[in-house]
Amino acid sequence: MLTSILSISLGAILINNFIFSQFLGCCPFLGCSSKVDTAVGMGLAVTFVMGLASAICWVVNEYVLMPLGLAFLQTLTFILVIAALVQFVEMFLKKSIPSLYSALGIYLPLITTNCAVLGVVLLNVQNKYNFIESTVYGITGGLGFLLAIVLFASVRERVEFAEYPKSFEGFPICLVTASLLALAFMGFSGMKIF
Amino acid sequence: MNKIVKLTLILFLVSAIVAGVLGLTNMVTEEPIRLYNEKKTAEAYSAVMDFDSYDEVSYSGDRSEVTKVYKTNNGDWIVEAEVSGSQGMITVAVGVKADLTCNGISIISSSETSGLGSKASNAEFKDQFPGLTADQAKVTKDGGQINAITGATITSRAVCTAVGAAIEAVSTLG
Amino acid sequence: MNIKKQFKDGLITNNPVLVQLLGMCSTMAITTMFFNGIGMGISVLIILTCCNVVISAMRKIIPNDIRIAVFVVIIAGFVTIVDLLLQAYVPALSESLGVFIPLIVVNCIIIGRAEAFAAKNSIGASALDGIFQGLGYTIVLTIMCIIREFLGSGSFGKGIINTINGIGTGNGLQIFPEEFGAKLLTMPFGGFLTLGCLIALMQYALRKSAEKKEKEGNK
Repeated sequence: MLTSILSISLGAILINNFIFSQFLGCCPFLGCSSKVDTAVGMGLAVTFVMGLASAICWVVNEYVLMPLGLAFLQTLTFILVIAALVQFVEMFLKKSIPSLYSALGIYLPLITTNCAVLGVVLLNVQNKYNFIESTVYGITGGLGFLLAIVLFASVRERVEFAEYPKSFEGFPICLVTASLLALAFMGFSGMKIF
Repeated sequence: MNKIVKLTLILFLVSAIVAGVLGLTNMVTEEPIRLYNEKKTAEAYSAVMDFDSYDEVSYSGDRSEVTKVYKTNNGDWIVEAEVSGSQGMITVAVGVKADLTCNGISIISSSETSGLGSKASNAEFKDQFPGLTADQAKVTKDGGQINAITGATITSRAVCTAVGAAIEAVSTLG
Repeated sequence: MNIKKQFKDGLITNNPVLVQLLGMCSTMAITTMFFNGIGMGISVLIILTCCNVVISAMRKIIPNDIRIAVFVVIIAGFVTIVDLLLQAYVPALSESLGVFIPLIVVNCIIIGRAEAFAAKNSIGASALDGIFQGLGYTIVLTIMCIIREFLGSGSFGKGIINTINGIGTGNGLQIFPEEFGAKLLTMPFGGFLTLGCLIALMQYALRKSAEKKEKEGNK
């Protein structure tokens, strides 16, 4: 049990990093990474929602969809659960922890359309993870996202001052930067916990 | 308050209509999907072992990779094992002979990078397995006899793990 | 209705991937073989067109407060239909694209076009917008697939050309031996790099054409 959790965590954070190896969550990754502060905020918000969504969707899938034979409604149900969850988290934070809300608030609505969240939920089902494994995969997947986006934002802040061809201005140079980071992350492939 | 009720009703109505349409689509597609999966499993099984019929055997040993074990009428075994490859799970059917050698492997499903890990399904890689014991069915780097797929050592290793697990499972069932 | 302008918008000047920068995830993830690109492109094209039509038809009755939620439900519906149909009739494609088919739900192209175009325009215009934007997406995907597949593994049209048993099993045309390919390009690294270069190329082309127009205007 412990080894499976460890290997899931290691896989989600480093080896199969959601961004650099599975391309899940690229839109906010590229959109919210111009500053390290915003990147940290976005990463934390995503981790939070991914963990919660994994847990809740597992329960919904196992106890509602599967017994009723409604597997074909998975995508629809999951996206509704995620949307409702994000809305709920937003309201809850606004009322009870305003300081955290002001830090994460603006990123929350963006998370609904973050494919990393829906992706992790669908992968949980596909890999037949149990409740604990799903939740761990969700949280560590989010941590992997956090790591990726913070690293990327710190590099990007420096790239601002570099000289590059005019056509590469804006997104292209970011993508090239990301490609180099992906190359670095490839070095983790093959790591394994026995 | 009235407004919230109205909005919820509209959203519920839309969801209900969409769910209904999906139900209809599911009724149409359920049969072909099931047939396809059955056909694929059957093809994988007959590719790894010759048999006329087989019975499912329950397995609850140590090798958690093993998901299904079947015993054929000739006394050989077919084992289905799930291992994690470089990007996701790989499901492999392994034919194990009564003398605990591998008779063949077949990849039932995998979520590896197209073109790289998916080469595990190619004959060049698969045809190395027949006749090997659990110790021999490892990649050369690990001291076995299997030449790993170029650039996809992890996938190759994963498949070897599946074969090893299958043979070990069979040896305990004997 | 201005078909010509919409056509040009979708394919070039307002291309969903290269200019609006929408739907990057799938663009980078699945473009390792020609077959994937075409399959994904056409799936998105169909879903986008259907969603645009339905949303445009319902635009007057959807209350503004919950419009995004309703959009998402409708999109998820169409995506699931396409997913089920692919699983049933083109299983090879469904296996190859894996989780990225259901993930079309959160592909920003679809919700983006629904919000920016279909919610404000007539049914006919929305349908055309769906088709042209979808075409623009398909073309970019296909170009990326061709580049990555050719440079990465030296082949062309894997999955479609030289099929053995049904769609998706072909080996394609091997143009140069696979060992000489830059395998890195078929890995995540190649996805980011190829897309970066394509967008840079697009920015270059758009800038040149803008400069040219300016010159002509000065004359």
